[in-house]
Amino acid sequence: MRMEIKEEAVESTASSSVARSRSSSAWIRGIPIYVMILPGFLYFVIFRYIPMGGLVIAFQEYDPFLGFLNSPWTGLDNFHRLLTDPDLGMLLRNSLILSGLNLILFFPAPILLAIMLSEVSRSWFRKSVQTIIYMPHFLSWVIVVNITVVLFATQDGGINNLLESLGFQRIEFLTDSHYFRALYVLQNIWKESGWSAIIFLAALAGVNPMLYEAAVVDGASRWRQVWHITLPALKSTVIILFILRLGQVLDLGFEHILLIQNPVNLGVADVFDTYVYRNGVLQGNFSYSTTVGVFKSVIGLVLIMLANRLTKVFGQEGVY
Amino acid sequence: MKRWLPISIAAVLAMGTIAGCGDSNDSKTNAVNSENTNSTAPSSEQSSEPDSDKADQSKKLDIDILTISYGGANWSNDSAIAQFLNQKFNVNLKFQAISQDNYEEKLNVLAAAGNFPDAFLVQKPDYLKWRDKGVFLDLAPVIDQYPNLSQYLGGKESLQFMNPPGKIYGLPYYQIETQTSFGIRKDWLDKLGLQMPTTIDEFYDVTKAFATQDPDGDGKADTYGFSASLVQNKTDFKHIDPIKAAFGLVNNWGVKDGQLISWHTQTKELEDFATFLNKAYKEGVLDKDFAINKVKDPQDKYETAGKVGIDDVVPNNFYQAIVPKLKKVDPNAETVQLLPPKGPTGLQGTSTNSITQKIVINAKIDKDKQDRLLEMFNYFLSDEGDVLTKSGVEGADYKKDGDKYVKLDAFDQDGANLISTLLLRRFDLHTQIHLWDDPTTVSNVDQWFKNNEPFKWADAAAGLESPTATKIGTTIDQKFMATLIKVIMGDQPIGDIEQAVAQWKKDGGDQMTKEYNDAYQATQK
Amino acid sequence: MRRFNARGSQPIFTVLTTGMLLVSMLIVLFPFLYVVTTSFAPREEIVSRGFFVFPHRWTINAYGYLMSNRQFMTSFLNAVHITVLGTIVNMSFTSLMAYGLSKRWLKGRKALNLMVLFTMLFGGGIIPTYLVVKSLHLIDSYWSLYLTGAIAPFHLIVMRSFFQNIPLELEEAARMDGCGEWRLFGRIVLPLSLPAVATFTLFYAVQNWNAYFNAVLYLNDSDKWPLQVFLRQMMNEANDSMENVSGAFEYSPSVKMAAIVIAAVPLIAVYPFLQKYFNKGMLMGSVKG
Repeated sequence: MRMEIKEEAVESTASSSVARSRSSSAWIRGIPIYVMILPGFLYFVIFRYIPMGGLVIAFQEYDPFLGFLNSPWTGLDNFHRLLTDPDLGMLLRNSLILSGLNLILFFPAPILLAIMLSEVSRSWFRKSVQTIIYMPHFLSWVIVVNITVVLFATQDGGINNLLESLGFQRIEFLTDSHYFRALYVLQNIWKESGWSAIIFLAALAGVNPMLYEAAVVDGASRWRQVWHITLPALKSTVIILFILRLGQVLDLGFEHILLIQNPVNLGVADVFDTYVYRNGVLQGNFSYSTTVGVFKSVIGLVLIMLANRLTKVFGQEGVY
Repeated sequence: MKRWLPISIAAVLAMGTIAGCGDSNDSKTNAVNSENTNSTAPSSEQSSEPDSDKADQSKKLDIDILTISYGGANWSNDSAIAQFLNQKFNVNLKFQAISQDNYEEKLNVLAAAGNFPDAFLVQKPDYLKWRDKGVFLDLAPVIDQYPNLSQYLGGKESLQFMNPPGKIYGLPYYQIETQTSFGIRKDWLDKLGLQMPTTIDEFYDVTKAFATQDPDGDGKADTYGFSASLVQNKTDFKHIDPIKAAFGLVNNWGVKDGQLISWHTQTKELEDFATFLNKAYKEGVLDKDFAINKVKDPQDKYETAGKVGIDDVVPNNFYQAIVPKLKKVDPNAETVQLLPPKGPTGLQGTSTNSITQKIVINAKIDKDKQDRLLEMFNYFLSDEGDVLTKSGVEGADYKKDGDKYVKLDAFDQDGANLISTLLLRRFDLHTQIHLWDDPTTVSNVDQWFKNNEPFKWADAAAGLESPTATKIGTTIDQKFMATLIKVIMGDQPIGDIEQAVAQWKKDGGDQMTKEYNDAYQATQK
Repeated sequence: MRRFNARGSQPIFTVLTTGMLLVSMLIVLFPFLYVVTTSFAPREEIVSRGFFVFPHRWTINAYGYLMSNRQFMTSFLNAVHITVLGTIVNMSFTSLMAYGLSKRWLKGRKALNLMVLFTMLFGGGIIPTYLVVKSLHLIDSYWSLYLTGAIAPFHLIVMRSFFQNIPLELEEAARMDGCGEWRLFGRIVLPLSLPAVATFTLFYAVQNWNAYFNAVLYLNDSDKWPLQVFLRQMMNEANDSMENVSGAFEYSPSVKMAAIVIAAVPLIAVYPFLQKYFNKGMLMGSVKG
């Protein structure tokens, strides 16, 4: 309860300070801040916005020897090719399902982990768990997929050998497309949960322990403490990360997917990144690669804008 | 903040550059080229003048070479071979080898920036696409001045391959054509009292016996007949070419009645082939993981687990790595060459590569550099250079011990053989034979190649171009493979192959066939 | 730690969290051990796959080999160099800009925020970026790596939101004391945001440590390439021409795994030192709620 009161207090101070600065010359007050922002600003202009001019090739049949200005213009042909590609439906379906699974299962995993870690009282235990689950992040996808094969292969995989020795049938984990999605999400969780938990742990580091002490005095159970103190403390970070993830809803980890894709699971495993790799990158067709990229980004942008709007409706601070 | 000023000014300049693409010099030349692509490239004019005193190496030159890496070491400027070459040719050689998955991207970026390296490796699609744009130096006028280039790279015909008449825009990167063949566990055959299989039916009986009759005698049903994988972009099989050939399938593209046809359209042959593999899969003869195997997995499984009866063998590698490794797993293991089994109609064929990669010299660089590069290339192919690029520098990479040679650690660490493995080498079966290799091994390797030679099974469209294939070939081939593999794994009925063939033709296969045939007819004239 | 115990002992809760953490730790550990122990296994045992988790005999040959490999060591040192300098550039650019954008009263803030967000979604691709790098004459210089990746928009946005969570009263109080923005940032905001600073230093460091493609793209001198390029080259799986694979020198599995372990160790080792910043309530001294 005290938490909410505090937040209101903060909000009111904020709005009063906004009002004040509007009346005075905010520009002058902002000078030191603008100086601080300048290097970053220049970075964005030089290394992000100038190159963005290259997006014009989405409307061209880009030829590296002719350059951006002299390559033949094709209008919306590339977009037309993408939108009329009979595979588009499949790509969208696969991407959205995998993304959805990521958001439902993979996104909360590190949050849960961070909360559990913060609830552990033995420091050595917390630290060891934290360090160990953080390690897989440093294995490349090639290695993670290799380990998966060693464990799950049909012919000689560890798990299947075990199943057979226990008198069960071997299961085609890797070549049966039904297992693909579960495999993909579990690999993500295995590799990245511990790593992604860091950011939430950092957010929890800012919580005032007195809040918990007060809660104990009020007789709140541990569950209630998590619910009323820990979760609210994570709220703004969770919201921001969630919105930003929505912007990348069609990015599913190109390297990862390419490594676990095979002809048998292609029907569920083909996503935009692998599609564009096949149809653009490998052919040196930068125009088409860019077109697909723009398409993905526009969808991401729309989702971010919607989510941001929604966040503000619920009275939270969005990403812009 | 001050140092940002020059950078931001530079950025403004950069905008101008982007618009023009590349250095102002380059973009001008590019523009010229694009306007008259049919006329000769600007630089060929220079190089057509015979070089009178090419021994002039007084000026130290920076030489940039870019090629594809297949693993192993990187080029190091400190290595003995680098120092040797830098001194011998008065150059500062930068040799970049980057892995295949990034190569295409980097090369295209460099193309766009007008920043090609001085010499680089180009794969078939890019070579055909860029060949006539004046970016590769035409070697035809000068090739005679470099005798080793004309002598050791397969001669006129091979140099001319994939080039317009009278032009030579690149030097071929040699690959042994009939490089692999089946090896079979002789000790298993003997144990089970079986004969060497000669037909595809016998092949099946033998591999089935390997899978079911416990050839390794450990009382467990853990062996299988043969393994396979897919090629890297998953458009074809790898390691079972002799089986494909036996059923009458062509190697990607083949000639039937004067016309090019694709293996994707050989419905009858495909059905026979798929039926065969389906049976093998069901009965545990074929590796259950063939669809997810990486290219090298079947070989690893053969040599490290000792549970497979057949392997697709690269002879060099076989004697240097497979035999010793396999001996550790099973001291009785003995592998012998198995010639391609005869199909129902008596057809036989062995896995066959096409030589389509080219090393090109940048047409835009100074003539000095071009000449220096050509001299270096000429040297790489000389007797001395051949030894140098395969075995490294004496005293650093190997040493002489009595009348024998011994390899030193630096050889592997410095990648002293990078030039021969990744860039340029003679058309010579001994691509991987070093000074210190045992002569019996060398003659054994030669024997494998010789035995294989008669069963060449070439891709008839190797040097030909089809824009449709470049654009969507991979996609439709992958889809086709998906059906074929599902049929083999029993997830789809054999009848689905007919639909897959029809779908492949409709999705662009017919167009590809037409384009390849047009290109093919043009070469036949 | 007594503090947490004082939060009322609820055995079910403790058992549940501890149990779940234990299980997740084991799930992570088991496959990871496979990598580590393979790096210590002698060749014969790998060849025969006579073990899965623990080899019968241990050897450090693989590590000895890598340590004596000049290319490996050069690329390792390159990676350290790139990571340290790159991360300094990253953190100066990012924290300054994030701090600036955390000021709710700042004019033009929304436009700047949008500008940042937009780049998370849209990028010009590698060709135009290469052209910019080239025209700044940064090809073959490590500055090409530092500058092209100076700010990750994602990190900037999250860091900004961390700064925003610092109570405004503090800022007001500091201003009363005559603190300018730079001092406010350096003396109050940064120390108060150590968890965020630690987090993003780590994030950037890891990103720089793993940087791979940009190095291949912008650095033409293979002696300048960082560890990840070496590592990739090492792991590179067969292309379709078998001969090249077997012909070029091939590393044994234990050497490959040892390289992975060595590449992972520096950043795994850093972590325990940063952990103290993630302790709940470490900031309580300064923030009076």
